[in-house]
Amino acid sequence: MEYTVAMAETADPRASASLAALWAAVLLGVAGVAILAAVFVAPLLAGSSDPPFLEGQVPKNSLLYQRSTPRPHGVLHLAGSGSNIPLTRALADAFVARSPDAHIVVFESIGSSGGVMAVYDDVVDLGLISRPLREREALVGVDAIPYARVPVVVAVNLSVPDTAITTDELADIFAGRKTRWSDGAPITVLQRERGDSGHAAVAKALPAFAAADEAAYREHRWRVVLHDRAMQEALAITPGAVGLLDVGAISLQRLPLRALELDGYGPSEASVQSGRYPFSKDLAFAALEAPSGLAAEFIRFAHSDEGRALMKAHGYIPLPEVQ
Amino acid sequence: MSEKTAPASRARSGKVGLRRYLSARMLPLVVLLLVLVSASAPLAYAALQARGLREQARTTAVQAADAIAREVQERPVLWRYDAGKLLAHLRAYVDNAGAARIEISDRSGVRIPLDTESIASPTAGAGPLAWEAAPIVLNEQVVGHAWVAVSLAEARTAALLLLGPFGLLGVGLAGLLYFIPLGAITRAERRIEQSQAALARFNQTLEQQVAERSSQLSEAYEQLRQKEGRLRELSARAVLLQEAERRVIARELHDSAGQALTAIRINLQLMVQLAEPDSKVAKMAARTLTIVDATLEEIRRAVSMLGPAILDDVGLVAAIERLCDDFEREDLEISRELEVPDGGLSAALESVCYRVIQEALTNAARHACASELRVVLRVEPAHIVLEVRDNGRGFVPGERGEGSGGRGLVGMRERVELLGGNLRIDTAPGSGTAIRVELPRRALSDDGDDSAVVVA
Repeated sequence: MEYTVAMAETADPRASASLAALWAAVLLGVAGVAILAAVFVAPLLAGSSDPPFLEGQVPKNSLLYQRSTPRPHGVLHLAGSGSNIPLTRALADAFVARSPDAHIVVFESIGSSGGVMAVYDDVVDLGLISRPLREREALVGVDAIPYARVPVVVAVNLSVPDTAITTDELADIFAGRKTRWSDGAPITVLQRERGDSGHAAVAKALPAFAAADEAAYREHRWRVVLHDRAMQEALAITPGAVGLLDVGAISLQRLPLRALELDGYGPSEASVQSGRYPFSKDLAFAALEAPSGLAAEFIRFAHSDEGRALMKAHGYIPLPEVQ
Repeated sequence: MSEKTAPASRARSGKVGLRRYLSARMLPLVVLLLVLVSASAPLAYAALQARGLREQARTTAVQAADAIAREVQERPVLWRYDAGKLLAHLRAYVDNAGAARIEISDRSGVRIPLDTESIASPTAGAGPLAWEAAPIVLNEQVVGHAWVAVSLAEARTAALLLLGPFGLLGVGLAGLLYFIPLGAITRAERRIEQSQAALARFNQTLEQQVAERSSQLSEAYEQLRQKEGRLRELSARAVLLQEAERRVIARELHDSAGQALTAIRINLQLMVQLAEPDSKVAKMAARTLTIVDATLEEIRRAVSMLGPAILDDVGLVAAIERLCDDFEREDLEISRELEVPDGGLSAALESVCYRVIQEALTNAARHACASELRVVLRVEPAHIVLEVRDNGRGFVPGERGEGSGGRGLVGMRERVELLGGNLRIDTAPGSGTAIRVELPRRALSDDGDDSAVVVA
């Protein structure tokens, strides 16, 4: 009994030294794990608080702002909403026929917002918009120059026997409550993307439709088509298809589609002007400053008698030039 | 966990201390195991998950960039304004590839506004986002980047959730690692303590037993010594009695038979003188006279053998003096130094002293060819010391055991030892012989009774 006590006492300094070494090794190991975690795992798990790109508006005089493209004299570039394109192209053809030195390029659709931004960036001379300017867009100095009003029609595939529906039925169709045409054929709804000017025009006039439309987006209930051109094609080849389209596009491009009467009224100028046909939108040019040169000439042409006649011929309602 | 166990173990294992020693060394290992087990799996999972997510985001970014690049090829300038189309391309990745957010930046790094609402997965929470980019290339020029964000919230949450079960596992394993050996060592320690206690008890009983045994032994030794002493007393008393008996017989022989024979001799001499010469009677008387003389000589010899009567007559010192005078010759000088205590010696001691000197002188005279002899009788507090030293030729001890001198030495030793004394012979060839005898004086104290008894 004595010897163990003696041994423990004599071995004490050496034992405590080895114990301290053991603790040191263990703490080193724990520190190693911590360093491993900090060096290898933490960077992988760390999210960046700042987005890796520059947000917001960049001033035009900044070096980062290099978007403007040089355009040769006598060439007019227009781009914007698909709703404007058929009429604008027809106007451009008529304009070029009158003054053969001019060249007008109307690009494929980039949407109203894209048109405003393109003109703000001085990438095109005139933007084409089919909706009112947003406050933010007006603030940066973009002006809207309306030139035509176009009824928004409910267009159907030619296979559909119906020629007229009510506004309530339209809301029912988009809400999924009415699923068959009068001959029993199923209804295929084609929806434009959120923010489309045609949908916006209908939703503004028909709250029931607005609710159904929004619900359909949320639930991904219908096929969403992204451009006018694609919409026209889809409606033309899909049996039982129904969608919203400009009347001018149908007549200008001679599409195999039918515009339905709404509540007993067709999309005529008279019914639109009287308000009996409820769905219409205004087409406008977007310009950064007071347009000059060829752009100003083209705007004047759109508001000229020849331009107005052309519009009327294809179901558009010419709008007076805003002074 | 040691805070609770350590004081208890210290209190309990104060004797052996194995448990405290082991527990102090197990604790760091246990801590290391706990950390390793609970941290490594969640860390590894989080790392793998985050890597996978980032890889996925990079792949998605590359795909998105390719899709945008096709658009850019078709519309090198206006592609960035066609938000609808870009959205259509990107929304599929948000919906299908699990991306939390997708953004497109132009060559300057400025985000291209795609929509008023950003392209974000509805499931992407407010958690941390990891961004990965892929370049959009047109004619080998980078015109922008597709940025894809993945949410790391799930990986973080999963890793944190894994910490729970793995922490529990670590605690369990660490507990096993700590408590199993500690339990074993505690049991072993208890057993060691028990055996140590048993050993201590055994030690104690062993000491007791040894003490008992040695006391018994010393008791027995004491008894033996007492018995030996009593035996020595007995033998001394026997010697005393024998000596007294001998002297009585000798005196009887001397006084009665000797006197009677002397008277007979006188009568026979008268008969020889009175009878006719050459008559038968005279012859017979003369023959008888011869026989009587022979018988008288026999009796004298026997008396001398039985007990030196001279001791009774003149005392020990005078008897020794006379003995020396008898042995002294022209070529042998005997020096003496004789001393006796005031009360004299017992008859047994006296006769032993006398006979030892007699035997030693006889041997010296016969065999030693010595020219000088020294006889010493000395009284010491406890002993009577007797020394006879010659300058003769000496002998090798033990060699002469067969001779008469040897038998004489053996007889001397027997007499001395019967009285509890000892005899030492120092001799070597050519260097003389010294005989030293020590006789205990104890025999003196109680000799009065003995001699009285014997003499009576």
